[in-house]
Amino acid sequence: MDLDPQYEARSKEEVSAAAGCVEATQSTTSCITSATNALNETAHGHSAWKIGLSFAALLALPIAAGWFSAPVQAVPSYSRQTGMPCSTCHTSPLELTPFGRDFKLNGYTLATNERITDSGDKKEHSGLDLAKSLPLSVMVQVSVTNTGSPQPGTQNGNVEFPQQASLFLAGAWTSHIGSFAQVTYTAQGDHFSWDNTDIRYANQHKLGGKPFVYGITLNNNPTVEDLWNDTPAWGFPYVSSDSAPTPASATLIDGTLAQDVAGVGGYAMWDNHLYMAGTMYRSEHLGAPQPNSGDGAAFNIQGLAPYWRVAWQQNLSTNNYLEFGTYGIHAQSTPNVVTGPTDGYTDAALDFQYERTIPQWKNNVLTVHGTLIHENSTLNATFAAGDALFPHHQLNTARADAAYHFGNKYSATFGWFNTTGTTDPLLLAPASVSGSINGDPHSSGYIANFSWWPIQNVDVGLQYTGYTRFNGGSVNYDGSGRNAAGNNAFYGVLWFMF
Amino acid sequence: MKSLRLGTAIGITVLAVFAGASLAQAGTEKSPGKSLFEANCILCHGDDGSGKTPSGTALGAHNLASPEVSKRTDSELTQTITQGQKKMPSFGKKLSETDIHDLVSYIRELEKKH
Repeated sequence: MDLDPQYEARSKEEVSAAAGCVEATQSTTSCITSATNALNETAHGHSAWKIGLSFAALLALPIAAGWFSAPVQAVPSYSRQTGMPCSTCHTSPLELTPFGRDFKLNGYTLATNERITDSGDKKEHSGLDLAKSLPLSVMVQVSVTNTGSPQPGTQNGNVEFPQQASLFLAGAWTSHIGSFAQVTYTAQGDHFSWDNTDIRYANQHKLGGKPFVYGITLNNNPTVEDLWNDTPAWGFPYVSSDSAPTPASATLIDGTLAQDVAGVGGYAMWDNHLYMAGTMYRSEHLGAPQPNSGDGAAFNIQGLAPYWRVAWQQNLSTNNYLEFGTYGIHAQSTPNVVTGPTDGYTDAALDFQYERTIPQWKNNVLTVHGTLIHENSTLNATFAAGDALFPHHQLNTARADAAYHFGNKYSATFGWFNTTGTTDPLLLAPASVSGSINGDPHSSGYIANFSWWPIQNVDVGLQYTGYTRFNGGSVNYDGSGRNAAGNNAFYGVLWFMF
Repeated sequence: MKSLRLGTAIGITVLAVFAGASLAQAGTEKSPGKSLFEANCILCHGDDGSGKTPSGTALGAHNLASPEVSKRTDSELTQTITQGQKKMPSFGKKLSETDIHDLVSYIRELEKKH
């Protein structure tokens, strides 16, 4: 039986970044390869600490090779463009600072680099503002994942070299148009594919005597246009394993439509306080025949799917900042076809972000993020196909995290998540690892993450994800004897940007 | 069709906001210095030069109308814009000498407004 697409297991690639720089050599690459091979030989079912030791050895190689003491000569495209270090925009990647949010709001266009310009005139001649070099950046991630229990028929202690490698076209195209565009190679897919993309026009004026920044965004992921790190596209965890099992149920706006839609919309910030955005999305299935036949596609949006966003930001005092807001999406979809009965989804969410700079502790920064997503769905198409026990469902996701940033060199983050919803044993059927014995989408747990940036464009990350409940249970949740704790995952990652 | 109507309504609202902003902007003739200031400086220093923007507050941007800045000579301001200072990046590669001269003139205008 096919699961409803809403409840299909998804591995989210929540990683994208804006800036970084590193030097690499062939010799160190071969060192990494050797270490990778050593890790690949790790036996089925090894304990997490042994994997950790192996990973530590992997980390030691580039240190021994002198990578981290090498002078930074190449900088990624936003840094190259602005002449500013990564830490100007990021508390620690991917979290944005106030300047980072402003830079994005203004279309990624602030530039101090060499440019070819022509002022033109307003009547007959167009002007030009073109960077002398293309705003290109590269990201490479190497990772190791070890779960509490091996997935049936697979080897635990999984190494991916790379987990993913990305190319970015990120920077100002003109004085008012800029981009964050990413194409990514993944080990699982073994090919490059279009990743998070946000191309935007931005300008500013006065409205009611107050600053008014406004723009147009063309993007492929609801919430990718957002300025804060409490919404799904840029929320914690910023990087995660793509081989560890993840809960089967997620709301539509929680990454389900990422890179599977195209949207155009507008946004505005008034008086540096009130942010509003709206985008209309249509399905665009990468790698599928055009025009869209719907075949094999879990979601085929009928009409337009409107996304909305309203937020208010406020400096409570010199070192205290608060943002709170709401966002959501509504979509009618025909799974696997483009006509016939539809499944309807309405997601409405609340979010907040708090930042506190602590001057007495060397200006360390504490950030707290939270979101609550509520989804109402009417699955007429799925119900008619016999894949749901009843048409009306609800799904709720709550998520929060707190991060403490020791300067811009270390950060420690603890996150909590909880998803609950309507039990439906047809929608979420028993299946090894990814299914549920009782059809209950309830999953909950925590994520602890420690990151070290020896230099601003290299991240050494250690992460542990623990599940107290997975797809509705803690013991034999899938009907095949697997426990929730079996999906607990240790994840180590080396992350390079240049 | 309900989502299509809702989408159209939001789309019209967004277009109206942009049209209003564009109309408000139309017919406003800017000096070269003001245009350069808006393109390069406003993110941190704000349109009034006060530095009271989210970015300016975070980076400690100077109030360009303050006595501290006013007492600097044109040559000193030119050097700051060209080479950068503390967290302010250098604009010497992007802006020509004429551009920077126009910017300094505009900063002097800002001082007079306060």
